[in-house]
Amino acid sequence: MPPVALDPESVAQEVLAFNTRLARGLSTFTQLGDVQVGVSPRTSVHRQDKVVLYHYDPQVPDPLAVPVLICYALVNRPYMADLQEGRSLIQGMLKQGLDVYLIDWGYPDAGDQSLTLDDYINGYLDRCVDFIRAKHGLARINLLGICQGGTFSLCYTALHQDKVQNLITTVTPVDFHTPRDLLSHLVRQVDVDLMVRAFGNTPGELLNWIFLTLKPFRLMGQKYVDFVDSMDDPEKARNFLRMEKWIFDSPDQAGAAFLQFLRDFYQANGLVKGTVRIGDQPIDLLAITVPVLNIFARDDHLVPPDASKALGGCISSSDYTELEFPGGHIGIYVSARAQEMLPPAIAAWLADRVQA
Amino acid sequence: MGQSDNPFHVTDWAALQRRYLDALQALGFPGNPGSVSAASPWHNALDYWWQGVSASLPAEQRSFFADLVRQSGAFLACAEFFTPLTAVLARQPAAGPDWEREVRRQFEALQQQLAAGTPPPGMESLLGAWKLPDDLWQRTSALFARLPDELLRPIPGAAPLGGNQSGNADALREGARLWQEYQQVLSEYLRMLSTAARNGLNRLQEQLLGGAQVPNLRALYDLWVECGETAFNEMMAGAEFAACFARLVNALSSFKLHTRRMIDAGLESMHLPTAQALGTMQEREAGMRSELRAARVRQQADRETLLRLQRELEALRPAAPNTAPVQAGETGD
Repeated sequence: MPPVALDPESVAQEVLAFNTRLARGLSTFTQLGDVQVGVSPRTSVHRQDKVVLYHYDPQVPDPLAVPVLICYALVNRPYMADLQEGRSLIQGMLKQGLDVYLIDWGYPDAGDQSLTLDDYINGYLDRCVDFIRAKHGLARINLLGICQGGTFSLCYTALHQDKVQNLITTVTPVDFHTPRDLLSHLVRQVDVDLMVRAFGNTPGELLNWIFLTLKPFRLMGQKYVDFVDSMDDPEKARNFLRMEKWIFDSPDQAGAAFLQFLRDFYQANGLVKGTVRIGDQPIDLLAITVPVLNIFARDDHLVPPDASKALGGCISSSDYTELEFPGGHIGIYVSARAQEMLPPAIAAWLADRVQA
Repeated sequence: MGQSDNPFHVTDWAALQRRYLDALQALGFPGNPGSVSAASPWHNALDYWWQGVSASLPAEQRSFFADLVRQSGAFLACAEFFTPLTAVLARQPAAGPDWEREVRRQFEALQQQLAAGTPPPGMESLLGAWKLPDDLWQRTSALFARLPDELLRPIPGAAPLGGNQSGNADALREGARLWQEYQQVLSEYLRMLSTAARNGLNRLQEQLLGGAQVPNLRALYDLWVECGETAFNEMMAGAEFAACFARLVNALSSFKLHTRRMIDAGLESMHLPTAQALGTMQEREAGMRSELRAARVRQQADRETLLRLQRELEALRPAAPNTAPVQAGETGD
């Protein structure tokens, strides 16, 4: 076959086929109705301000005695961890016999712009941990952090190790200045203090724009052309729209917390340098001695593997495990491969270490 | 619902496309050097169709589908751009001199038009991908930046020119200056995007002349995307783009902060709470939260101390036989 095998007729046929799919897809699209997100039954068990702690119904008669608290990022919404049937990290963990809690930070508004990382980590997160400890009569629980939530979990564990039995971090940035970290490179010179003074809370749309800017052709162009191929299948169309809903469901970021995260973590790389302070306490990752499972995504364009793997050299734990997932930042939670790989790996790792 | 009674399934779509195809084919023949800048029949047909059906969509779905149609238009424009080349291929296989000459001619024409900022009609949607960051930025910044005419409009109910007219005039001048500054950086930013677009085209041309396998139109589109993404990534990884990006955000922030202060001045003149005053209250509240948290920690520590002391006290108590109730007349020691 010649390298370029195009002729006017075949191009015309391809265009016609594409247009037909688009027209049919429109018909399917109008009949889809609202797309639902979140699949696992859950109960709200604790609230403080806009923060809600959810407890998922265990799916085995005798779940692991020490529950897992999932600490999500402030960016985007936590239902990504429980997106839909068959594409849910939480569902997988429940089926593996884990008892799962999740923090939903809510949507900050102008009244929340003075919330600091101290409020989030030593305030809301600590209250949730205490609630679960009291409910289960346990001194320590398991903590699982997602992305920025993983960074929060590391800070929390460094400060409150007496309350954490095992720590799992997933696609978590630790070293914010690795060579392939485009996001960090892009925001390094932004005057965050000026930005927060000007805007108060940082608009979610702005963050979304930055994330999409990292791969504009794929994320804002090719993805939609690909979608035309499958949009006349209602189930595939719903799957696509669920992800779209999640991507563009971006809460604003509380100004003070955003300022601190960008300035101290992204710009100053303070987590690995030991210069981050939460409230009046310095964060020393070397203080972490609990078992740590660090899961990163091989093709992650937002948190490159090196940014996560740096954790191994920053903590004192003698029980440190790394797990590489062959996929990207989002695929690690919603892809079919992730469903097969992650929940069993997490459950087995915890089962080996949980002391009831 | 069958296709025949489906209002969204345009049954004469194929015929419509065929008519446009006939017109398009003519554009690709040698001796028609203006083919790159010719009309875009497929793209135009898509627009025509979208105008016809979009009004029937619920509002909440229209925006998503509009984006989808826009990107579909990019795919069709890709087809239009390469159709003249397919006519050459029909006469001579790729890697021949005609093919190479035609590829270079097509790309050169497009590069020139891109450099001049006048992409040929119909190509905008294909180049829409290049302009995406710009589109998104404009959409994003529109959410929180007041436009100059709004800036210059007196705040209703306030007396912006009363009392301190020269001060207000200065503030307006400063606002206009900051907006100008933002526009200048934005131009610089757009120039960089345009350069990245041209670099992406160069890559695509190299790939095609280098013998990249392109079995169909879709593969060609995907190759264009890959080349564009690579060029864009290279630019983004450089120091110059990061600096420009920061200047853009900072310029917009400066303008926004200025408008915020001006609005505060108007609110203050009406004795209404200003954003600055609310910020002060929030800072005080944050201080109280911090104190409460510290008190909670101290309380917890005190509780643990108390429990420890109780345990120590229990341990110090005499053993069981000696703890029998003291009888009347006995002493405790």
